[in-house]
Amino acid sequence: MSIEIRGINKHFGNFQALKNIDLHIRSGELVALLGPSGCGKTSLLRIIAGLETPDTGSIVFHGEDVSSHDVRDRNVGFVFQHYALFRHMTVFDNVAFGLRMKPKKQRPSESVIASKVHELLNLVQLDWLADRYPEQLSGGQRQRIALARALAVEPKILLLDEPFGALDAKVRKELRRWLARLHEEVHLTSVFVTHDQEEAMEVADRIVVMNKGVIEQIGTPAEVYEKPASEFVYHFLGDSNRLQLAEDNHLLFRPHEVSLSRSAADEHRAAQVRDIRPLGAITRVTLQVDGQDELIEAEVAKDHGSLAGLVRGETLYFKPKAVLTPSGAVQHV
Amino acid sequence: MSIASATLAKDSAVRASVQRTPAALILIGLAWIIFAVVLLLPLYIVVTQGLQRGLDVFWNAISEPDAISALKLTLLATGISVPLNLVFGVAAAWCVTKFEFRGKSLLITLIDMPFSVSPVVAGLIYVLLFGSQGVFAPFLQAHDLQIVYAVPGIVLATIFVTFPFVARELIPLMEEQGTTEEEAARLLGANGWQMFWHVTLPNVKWALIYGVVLCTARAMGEFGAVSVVSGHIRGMTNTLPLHIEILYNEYNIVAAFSVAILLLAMALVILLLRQWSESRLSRSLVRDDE
Repeated sequence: MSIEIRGINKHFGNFQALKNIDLHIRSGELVALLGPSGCGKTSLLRIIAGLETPDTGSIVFHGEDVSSHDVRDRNVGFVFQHYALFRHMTVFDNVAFGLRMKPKKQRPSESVIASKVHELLNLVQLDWLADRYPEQLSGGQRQRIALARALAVEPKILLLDEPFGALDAKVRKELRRWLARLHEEVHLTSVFVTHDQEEAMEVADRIVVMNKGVIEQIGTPAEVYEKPASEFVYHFLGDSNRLQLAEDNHLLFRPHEVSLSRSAADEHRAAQVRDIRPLGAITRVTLQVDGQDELIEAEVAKDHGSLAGLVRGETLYFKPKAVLTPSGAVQHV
Repeated sequence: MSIASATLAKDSAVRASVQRTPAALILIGLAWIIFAVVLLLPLYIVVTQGLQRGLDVFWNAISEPDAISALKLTLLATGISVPLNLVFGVAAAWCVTKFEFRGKSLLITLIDMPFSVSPVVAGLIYVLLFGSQGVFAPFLQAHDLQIVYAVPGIVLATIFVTFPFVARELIPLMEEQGTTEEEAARLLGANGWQMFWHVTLPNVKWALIYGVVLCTARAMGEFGAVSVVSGHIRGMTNTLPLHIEILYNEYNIVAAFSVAILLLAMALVILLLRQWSESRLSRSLVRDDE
């Protein structure tokens, strides 16, 4: 089911959370709303779900304007950041909730509900936890139960608010891949909110980068990374270095797109080594350039030739391999 | 009482393995002394005074017609005011914690007012409104209605003083729990009533029960406000606390303490009811369907 977002504006008091948002999400797509906190991404997600009412604009599901539809009638699955599992119900009852709340005529029998719930619990690989209460589960388990609960009413659209935000790094990675696989299997139109660019890049088909209530760019992970529409997008999608060339002229480049040399080389600038950090597969070298306070970071493979016997205080020569041009695109030099 | 003893038993088992410092021993000792002087000693005195002439005298004191009528009135006032304040308290807490609106802080302050106003003043408010010189006096006289110095006044005064108990217990808890579980219920297709019954109510049931217990205990024991509006007509508008005062003022010490034992026993029954409901409700309320 496609989602069409047209001219959405939303104020909270004097604060404008969303400004003229237009967005088309294709059926079956997995889209990430990416941005820093306060950029309006969660408000947009809640408006799609019907939990907030926009000041102006409309939401259209598959050609049908649902703007005036109540939350209950939109048939969206929603996974909350902190899961919002019903704390006084077992895992089973949580997942069964949506089915049990159906009007009497549409409500399946308890035995049908039970088999449906176990099917979903198997899908999220947690059938053995059916009799536990939410507080007895780990964060990752709660997350998957929340997902099973949302899927129980067979929504056409799945919305996830910071689905991995409250989990530790390792669990987050596993769940991310799992969610991407699940999306392949059940093929819902899914939208998730995140402030983690790595998460968006890894999971989403398309990324919507938001900042201060407006959409900065919409594109595939490769597009937003390679052709950022603005300096904001460039900064937000990864670490970046700023090299001041003149009073009002600077270069932006990523730490891993730097060529390093121990001896003076063509187009390379001299810099003093301030810190050397081995980070596993790569090593990060922090450099101080004359004429600017801001430090430059370079990340190279740990066996890179320029690193052999390198100590702090030495002089190293560097050159950005790819910079963000003022026109927007990343240019390889 | 049973909660306290159960907790103490559990704590002492835990503490047995912990090294006690002299400071801890002194503090524990002080707590016991204060507990004994402030709570146990008065209870002991009430019971011994009431029973000092034997069970027959005690029984006569609590079964004479005036005492029975006071008991009935107390139960009536409690029976009306507690359900009303239960409904009001849940509605007020729901409205204050789940919605944003103008004048919300004023409403919260107003809910608390019966706590801050002296019960005597509360009683006087009703006399000024419904008494023979009161604002509504012409209307009431025209329709031959008696509110002050009659049962309706006592019920009204009881409702007023026990107004905040349920809401006060619920508001902090509901505020802390937020609204996401309700939102989740809505998204899963629950209507307003289903959401309230299956999600909101089970989440606050202990606070609710506790609020009702406090409300009931206070409704049975209320003295000040009821005293002002009652008129102290024996056998007509006397509640148990007022009856105890009258007996005491007449130097009928044994009868006064006998009725006090009755009131005390009722309070204990309420506490036991709470204990019982805790174990039962935890199983039943959740699974109940509409």
